[in-house]
Parts: sequence; structure tokens; C-alpha cells
Amino acid sequence: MKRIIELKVNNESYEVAIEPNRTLVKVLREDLDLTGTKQGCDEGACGCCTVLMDGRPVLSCLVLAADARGKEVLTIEGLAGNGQLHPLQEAFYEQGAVQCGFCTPGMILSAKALLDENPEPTREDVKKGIGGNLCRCTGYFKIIEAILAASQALQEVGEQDG
Amino acid sequence: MGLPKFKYLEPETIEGAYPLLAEHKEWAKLVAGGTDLLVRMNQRVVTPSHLINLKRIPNLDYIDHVGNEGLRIGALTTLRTLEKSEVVREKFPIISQAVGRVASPQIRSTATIGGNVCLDTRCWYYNQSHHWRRSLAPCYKLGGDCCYVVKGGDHCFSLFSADTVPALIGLGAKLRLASSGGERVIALEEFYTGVGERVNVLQPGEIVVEVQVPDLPSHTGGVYLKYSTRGVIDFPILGVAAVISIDPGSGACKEARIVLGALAPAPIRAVKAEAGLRGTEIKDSLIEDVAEVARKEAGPIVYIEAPVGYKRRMVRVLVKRAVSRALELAQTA
Amino acid sequence: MTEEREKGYWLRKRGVDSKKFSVIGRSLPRIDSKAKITGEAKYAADLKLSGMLYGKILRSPHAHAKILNIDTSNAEKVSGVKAVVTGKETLGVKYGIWRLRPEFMDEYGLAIGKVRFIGDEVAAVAAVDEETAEEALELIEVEYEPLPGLFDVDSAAAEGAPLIHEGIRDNVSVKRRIEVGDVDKAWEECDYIREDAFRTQVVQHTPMEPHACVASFDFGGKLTIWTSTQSPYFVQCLLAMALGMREGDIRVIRPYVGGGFGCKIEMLKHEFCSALLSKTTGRPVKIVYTREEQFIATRQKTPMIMELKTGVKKDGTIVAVEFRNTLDGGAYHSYSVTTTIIAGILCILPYRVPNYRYNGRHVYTNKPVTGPMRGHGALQPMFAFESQLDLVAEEIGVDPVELRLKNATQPGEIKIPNVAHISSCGLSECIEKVSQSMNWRERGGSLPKGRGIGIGAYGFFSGALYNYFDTQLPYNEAWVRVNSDGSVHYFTLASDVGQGSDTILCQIVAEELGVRLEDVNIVSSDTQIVAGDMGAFSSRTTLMAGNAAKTAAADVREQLFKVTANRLGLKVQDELEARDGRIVIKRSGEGISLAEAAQAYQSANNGAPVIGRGVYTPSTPISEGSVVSPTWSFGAQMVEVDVDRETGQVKVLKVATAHDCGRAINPMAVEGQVEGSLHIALGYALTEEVKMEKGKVFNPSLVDYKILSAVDMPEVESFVVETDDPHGPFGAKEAGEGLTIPTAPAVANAIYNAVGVRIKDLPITPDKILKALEEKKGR
Repeated sequence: MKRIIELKVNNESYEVAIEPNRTLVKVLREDLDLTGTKQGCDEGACGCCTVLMDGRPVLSCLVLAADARGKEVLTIEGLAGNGQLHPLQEAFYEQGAVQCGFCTPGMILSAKALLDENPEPTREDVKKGIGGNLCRCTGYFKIIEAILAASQALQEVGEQDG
Repeated sequence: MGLPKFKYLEPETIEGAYPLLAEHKEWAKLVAGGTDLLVRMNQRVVTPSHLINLKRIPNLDYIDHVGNEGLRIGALTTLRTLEKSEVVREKFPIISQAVGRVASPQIRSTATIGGNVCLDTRCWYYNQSHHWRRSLAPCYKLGGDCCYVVKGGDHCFSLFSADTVPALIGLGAKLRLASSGGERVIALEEFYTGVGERVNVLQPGEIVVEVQVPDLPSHTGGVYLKYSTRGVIDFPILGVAAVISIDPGSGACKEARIVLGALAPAPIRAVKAEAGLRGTEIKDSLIEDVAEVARKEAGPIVYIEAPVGYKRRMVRVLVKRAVSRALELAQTA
Repeated sequence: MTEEREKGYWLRKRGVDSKKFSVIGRSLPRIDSKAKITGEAKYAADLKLSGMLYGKILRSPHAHAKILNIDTSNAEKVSGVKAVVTGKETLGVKYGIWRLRPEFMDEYGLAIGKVRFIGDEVAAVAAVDEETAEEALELIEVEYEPLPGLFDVDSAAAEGAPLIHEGIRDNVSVKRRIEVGDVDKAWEECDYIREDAFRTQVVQHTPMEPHACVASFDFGGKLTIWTSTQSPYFVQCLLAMALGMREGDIRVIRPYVGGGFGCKIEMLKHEFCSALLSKTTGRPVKIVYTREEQFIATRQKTPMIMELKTGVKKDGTIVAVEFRNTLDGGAYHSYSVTTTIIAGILCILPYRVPNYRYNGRHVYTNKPVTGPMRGHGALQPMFAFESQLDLVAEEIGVDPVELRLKNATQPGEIKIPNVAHISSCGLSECIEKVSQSMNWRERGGSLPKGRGIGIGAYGFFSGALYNYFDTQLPYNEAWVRVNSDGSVHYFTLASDVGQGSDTILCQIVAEELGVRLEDVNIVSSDTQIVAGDMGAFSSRTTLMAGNAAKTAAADVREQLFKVTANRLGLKVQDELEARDGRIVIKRSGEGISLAEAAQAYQSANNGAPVIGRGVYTPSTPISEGSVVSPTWSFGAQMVEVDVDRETGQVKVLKVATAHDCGRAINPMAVEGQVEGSLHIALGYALTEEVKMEKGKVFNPSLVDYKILSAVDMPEVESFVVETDDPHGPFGAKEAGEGLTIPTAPAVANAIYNAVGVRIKDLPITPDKILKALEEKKGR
């Protein structure tokens, strides 16, 4: 039986009528048209469907939409604000960290969760932070560079603000 | 593929969950993190009519360490919370270490310790989509009467692959189980049946509510070594936990636990190997011997993920390394 | 991109002066990356059309069986089901990628009469949602009569084995032979000869995006399909063949593609089924493959069983090579005739082999279909040959690096007459470069216990020339239009599937027109706009589409030069050039903007916009004798490993690669290819294997099929050796596929160097190493 649930995604509230078997990734993609979140396996292995839920990276293919009630969901579409790319997005762009792009949204969100928690990660920290996001194109090298560059950029912004 | 249809029940108290369990019996499944269950549902390995969500139940997400009463972990504590917990890192580093090796950061953000100890067993033939399984008659675990892993085998040979459990058993952890009839506490080691078709002794109507870990004697070292192809995502091909306490005066081993994971439907305690360590001052040659004893204790090994002979050898190597490392930690503790 | 970074990474070579260029040779960010980092980019599975239905495919549970009957009546009754189709609803025509040779076309849109592997397509359903389609699939009743399955080449090619395809004797669909020099005589000249056998495994391409498409027939009976493909043109043509339509009545649009690596080149069954279901229902139909389907029902890399015999002189000079190869092809042909022949060619490409004999055969088996994959036909033989060269080097006491330098292919050589002629080759330099990077000459002999370094070299095509598709079109066609506001539109069918070709091609157009990269807007991969591009495979895009783009841009520039000359009243000795968005007199810098020039052209031509056209059809190299590829890329790689003697586990510590890509149009993009290719290549060497038992795949998932994660990757160092190839646009050659070749042998050689065991079958898993170590100890 469908029921109406309220979701908060990218700072906007949505009401959707859904069956309980709908996963968050399906609701994001099919009901909210937020197709930036990708589906690569539907079994929790590839990381393409990573979104942030209350700041933590989760696999939206393994989260029931009903369980996202009362949580803040952030998808790739919500990362850039006021026409400004997030420093992570800037870094991915500048460093050539994007190839086919299918892992990119999940990768960036895992990286955001990492930097939010650990603003100055080592290379090893970065590798672990994105360990659950598979990429077939880049070998991860430029992605790691981009995350380290973004970490630095965020530090600098922080210093200016501070 | 999408999940099969089910009714989602969301009790807000533990007491509220009991009647739901009683009403729907084996047709219902408890769900917390859901990171393993939802995959199985996707594959139609399990198709419960009802899912009983435990996450709305308050006060089951905690890590308490008071005085010398040991560590108490609420069943709904996520693996990530456990991994990052300061007190756990400080007092029970083997837990942080084992938890940190579970799957990926995303899974650990969602999966719970209660879910991990209740993990169902796995195998190459069972954890597949219904399309895949269409070409094979059902195996024991699916209610059929054959095993594909061990051809001609008379029972299920699936593997129990939770990374946290060998470490917790190594620490002598217990589980608190609750039901409408009251509560009981059992040793985690006793929780597993060793039977692939019915992995643990959780009774209908029972819910795992807490993991209890006793405080360790001084001069104890523990380590969990995971053997897997990749550094993340993978289930273990083999997991070995060793926890060793020594007498600081004599240097002799007071207590030793060696637990092997992912080899059978339940974690295996290498009790003879442990006995070989107890009461002696552990030398390298003894570790070699004990590792060989553990290898023999491992029981029948099956070909899932890696060849049988290789896995058997790895039991010896990993036990040796785990014991050495645990001893080193005990000596420097 | 900082200038420092641009300089820092790249080795500039042979007087190639990048300074004279303004857009190419620069590490510019990719033009598609903003859409991808913001989630804006739409991939096929992201598309939604009104009235769209969802399709699902029923697959065979049998490896080999006759279909006796299919009853779809119960499935049709399910509420929400709009169509159920089986082989009966198709035209029953066979199709295949080798259009030139009908005997190699062996696939039906949906199975007719029998099924040949577990996963073969039997029926398809369209319904209002995926769940309903799934439900209906379960209700289709198929009656099969199982036939004996053939799961290895020996039993399949045995006399009297049941035939997988009628009329293909012994299930051997292809036999190919290459003969250079006089091999039989040459053995007598050798001081040392050895024979070895090698095997490679089945791997899968594993693009992160599973196959997906949406097909939509309109009331006029014309079809549009949006599909995640490497070749819109092939999809168009093969759909036309299978549906009995004119190619021109099918429009294929390629949205963003989440990687292909070879398994998205051909028209596959989801494309056929969605089109057929759309035709039946009159509504758009979307099919998205599950990861499992992606593994079993698209393409896999062909395993090879290889016997190799090599003879050398005392000093290491290669005298003769004989290579016998059997390809375990799976249930359908796909590209197998190509795979069979190029394995023979690519095996000896990096080295001078005066006497060479190759015998290759392709055998059908009741397993998933194998086809091309990044480094098509080359990874398998080069694993064998490069491994054997190290064995030879050790036996005759020659350093493996020196052995390779001694025999390395040089520019101007003819490898195989009328097949492979080498116009440019930086291989020797590449070998030197990686050897220096690893400090091989100093460290080679004195590595710590368990450590080892190994080398692998390679060569690869830059675009296959042989016209197996029997097309009338050029290999690439390009139009470039300069608009009256100075912006540029570039039209092509070249497919960016993630490798970055859109950016590279726009850089070429921008360079030619003297504008900035952001002035060029690309319109790519819609078969309705510009025809003529076979697709993104055979490492062809930079060279073929790049040449066409360059020609088209030059064409439009010349037209604009004419009107500019008129406008400026040019003197006879004056020369024009296009730079900084202007057309100017070289001598004085006087001129007009590109916009003004375009306006002037339009005023003089009744408003007609100025359009340049370019095609690339590689006639020149063919006349020179190289019928396989216009030119060839080369490179070398060294790998350092640490082997755990107790567990057999290999940790790859560092990889150094040097690649000769002619000229790097975009160094950062080349670097991305160099680094990225390691992911597939290291997996191939160490961890990836599609495991099967009786044709059933055990690990069709990303949990159980082990593609490497970020924590598993080594350190890398990459070098580009530029050689300025005469056939490439601005001297560029391929930089994508060849790079995946050297890793497996380099790893195998490094392991041997580390612990003295030689593993001859991939992947090199810890259990194989341990077993070999124990056998060695026992000897």
C-alpha cells in the first residue's frame, strides 16, 4: 500500500506517495527526477548511488526511501550553490578527475563526507574514504589528486573566512 | 530489479515489536541497516511479507563503558559509530580494527552491529538472483535437497562471513536477546549453530538488543586479520582473530583465543591451538606448531572464492601471524 | 591548469614544438566534465519519455537446448503488460558485425529453434513498470529439450561433437594464418629455442554504467533510439538489418555514456528488444540491464590457449617465432574473426621478427559471447610473448631490457608485408624511459627479498582499416560551421564514451580555426545529423575523426580566407592566418574577426552559412601497404612488486609507463588514459576472472568480480614520448587501448624476478604463486 512520506532533499521538502519497497535511489531518480544519482549495481558494491544522509555517505540502493524520513539528504544536484561549484567539483574539473562520469557523483559525495570529517586527509585517508566507490576509467589517480587539491582549497577558504 | 513487495512495520518500542513478530512469524524479517537483507531481497533469496523496522526504536544505539563492567553496545549502533568510538579504540582496538574492515564506508554508515552478528551465511550458488538460480534446483538453504558447493553433500556448506564476529568471540562477547517472554544473555560463540540452513539460535520472537564485551585483563593483545582479494568491499575469504593475555611476570600465556571466520556456517574456535598456547611462554616455534594445529581444527574447507588447499594453508599463515601480533601487543600493553 | 603542471609531467620529444600551437598540446579541462560533476549529464537510464514502458528479457537457463515451445499467454494476461515477444515475432534474420561475410553473422534478435548459452535471449516483455515486466517474465513458459553443452575448446572441436551452429564443422568458425619469412628454415639459424604454453582467462569490461536504452517508434514507422553505445552507426545498421528497415529510417542518439571498453560496440539484444517492443506497442520502451545481465549477456574478453615457440641468436636477436592460438569464443561470433587475426599481428608488433608463423582458430562453446575489449586481441598474445621473452633472456643470459632494446621495432619497418608498416615508433625510447624511471640498471640486481621488477612492451593500432562492415561511408565525416557571431559548430558522429574524444576533437577544430576551445560547440553522435563514423573502438577516434575534423576546419577556414582576402584587398604575397578569433595578414596582423568573415561570407552567398566539410578515408596508408591500421602506437611499462612468500599475495608498488602517442593533443587526457588503463590491466593480471562452471557464471556482480578499488592501486609514473606521426592529426596517434597490454606480462615478469616462479596462466592469483613456490622448493 502506498503511503505519503516527506523527504528533505537538497534543502527542499518533497511529499511522495510510495510503496514501502521503493529504495531511496529509485525515489530520487524516478519520482524527484534527480538522476544525478547513478545506479551501477543495485547490490551495494559500486558506490555510484552514494548520497549523503545527515552528512554520512550511504548507498541509496540499500536505503529504503521510508527510512530517509526526517533526514537531510544531499545529492550531487544539491552540492553546487548559487551557481558556484563546490571546491570538490572545481577540483574534479581542473584536475581531469572525470572521464565517463558515471562514478563521479557518488565519488564526489564520498569525498565530501571525508573532507567534512577530516579536512586534511593523507593520500591513504583519501583512498580509504573513496574505497567504496569503484571507477573503471581513471585508476583513481586524478580523483585522489583532486580530493587532495580540494582539501587544500577548502583550507584556504577557511583561512580567509577565519 | 527492485525489491519485492512487503509491508513495512515500524514499531516505536521494543515491546511494540513483539506482537508483530508473533503475528507474522517466519514471514516477517527484522531489519536494521538492511545492507545485507535488501540485497538478498533484491535477488529474491528471501521474500518476507513483512519487514519489521527496528530503527525507530529509541535507546538501542549506544556504546557504554562504565567502570569495570565491560563494554555494552546497543544493537542499533552503526558500524561506523563503533569504528570511530574513542573508548572502543582505546580499550578494544581489535573491535575498531575488525569493524573497519567491513565492506565500505557507505555500508558501515548504515549497517548495525546487531545486523552484522545476525548476518546470514553466503555462498556462490545461493547469493544469486532468481534469474540466475532458475537453472538450478533449490539447494538445502532454499529448502531443496542438494548442495552445489560440496557435490553430494548432505547439508548446507554456506559460509558465515561477518568480520566483527571472530573478533567479538575472541573477546568473549555475549549477546543480550529480548522477547516478550523476557531476556536472556548467551555467549556469542553459542549463538551460531554451525548449520547453514539455520545460522543462529535466535528464537521466533527474539531480538538481539545488545552486544556485551567483558573488560580485558591487563597485558592482553588482540588482532583481527582479514584475507580478501581487495582492501575494501569484499567479504573475507578468511578472517582470523587472536586474543592473547599474558602474565607480565612470567611472560606465560594466561589466556588465548583463536577464532576462524568465513570457513564454515559458523565461526570456528581453534580450541586445541588455544590450549597449546595457554600456560606456556610463547616462542616462535610454538606459534608454528599451534598454527598447524589450528589448520587441522579448521574442519572441512570448501571451494568458495579460493581453492580448498590454498585456504587451508592460509589458515596456518594467518593464525601464525595473528598469534605473533597479538602476543606482541600483549607484551607491549 | 597551471603551466607548471603542464610542463612538469611531459617529456617533449624530437623537435615537436608545442609552442607553435595555441589549443592543442595543452592540458585543458574536458568540455563534458561540468555536466558530469553537477549531475546534469543524462545517461540512457536517466531518460524518461511520456508513455514510456519498461522492458525485460527472459533468458535461457540452459547452456545448450532446443526450444520446443514457448507459451506467453499467462504473461500476456498480467495487468499492465503491453507486449510479449519471442523469436516468432521477429523476422528471423541473422545479423552480425561482420556484414561483409554472411557466414560470420550468426545472431538472431531473439532465439529461434535453440539456445546456445545460459543467458541467451528467449523472450521480452514490455509493461507499465519494471515490477510488472518482471512478474510477467516469470509466467512465460518455455519448454526446452536440453542438448549436450560444450564448455571447453577441446570438447567443442572434437570430432563428432554436437554442433552449436549448424554447418560450422567441429565448431571451428575461423581459421587464420600468417606466414612471414621461412620459419622452418629459420630454426636452424637459432642458437636457442624454447616452447611454452600460456592461457588467459575470461574477463568482463565492467563499465560502471550498465547497458541501457530507450527506443521509440513514431506513427510514421520511424524509429529513434537513445542508447549507451560506442557506435551509433553500428546500432543503426544492425537494427535496420534485424528489423527489416532502411538505415535512414532509424535514428540513433548517444546520450552520455558511462564507459564501454568494447562491450558497447555492437548492437546488443536490449537494443533490439526495446525497438521490437516499441514497434509492437507504439510506445517508447526502456531497457536497463542489471549488473548480472551486463556480465553474462553483453560481451566478455576472449580467453586464448596459446603455444609459442621462439628462437634467438646467442646475443638475443630474435630469429623466428611460431604461435599457435585457440580462441574460446563462446556461443556467437561477434568480432571473433578480427580477434583471431589481430592476435597474430599484435603478438610480434613491438619486435623485429624476420620469420613468423601464426595459426589461429576460433571455437564456439556454450558460454557467454566473447568479443572485443580494450586492447582487443593483444593482451592475450602479449602476455604470452613478453613472458616468454623474459624466459629466453634468462636462459641466454641477456638482460631483459637489453633484449627488448635489441629487437625493438623501429620507424620505417615493415612488420608484416601488406599488413603492418610502421610510420613512427618511439618504442626504444619508451623502454629506456621506464627503465630509467625504475632505475633498473642499478637496482635490478639488488632488490630486497620478495621484491621484483618486470617489463612489458606493446604496440597497437590507431584505427582498424579493414572494411568488414562493408560500408559505403567514409571512416569519419565532419562538418564545421562558423556562425556569424564567431562561434563554431562542429558536427560529427564520433562517440565520446568517457575517453574524452569530444574535447580532443574540439581542440583540433579550435586550433585549426584559431579560436578558443570554448568557442567550439560539438554536436556529436546523432545519426540523423552527420553520418560516417564507425564508432569508438580500435583506438580510431583521435586519428580518424581528428583528421576529418581538421580537414573540415581547414576547409571552412579557406573559405573564410577567400572572403577576407577580398575584404582586405590582399596583395599577392600576403598570407593569411587564423588566430585569436581573427583572420589576419601574417605580416602585418591586420585583419577582421572570424565573425566578420562569416558575415561577409553570408552576405556574398544569399545568407548561406559557411560550412566546411571533411572526410577521412585512409587511402594513403593502404597504398603504402598497411591494410590493418594507418599507424601504430607503442610503449613500455615496468612494474615493481612485493610478493609475500607465505601467502602468495602480490602487492604492486609502482608502475612506470611510457607511451608513444605521436603527439598529445591534451596531455592531461593522455595521462588520464595512461593511468586509467592500469585499472583494467592490473585487474586482468591479478584479480579479475569471470568464473564459470558448465557455462554458468558464478560471479556476475561487483562484490564477487574483483575490479580494484582505490586502496588497491599502486603508485604510477607516466611519460609521453612524442613522435609526430605523419598520418595523425597534428601527428597524434592512439592513447587508450595499447596501454592496457603490457601490465600482465610486466607483473608476471616482476613476480618471477621477485620469487623465481613463472605463472603462465592469468590471472596470477596468490594460490598459483604459492603452488609454484612449493613445487620449486620440492625440486
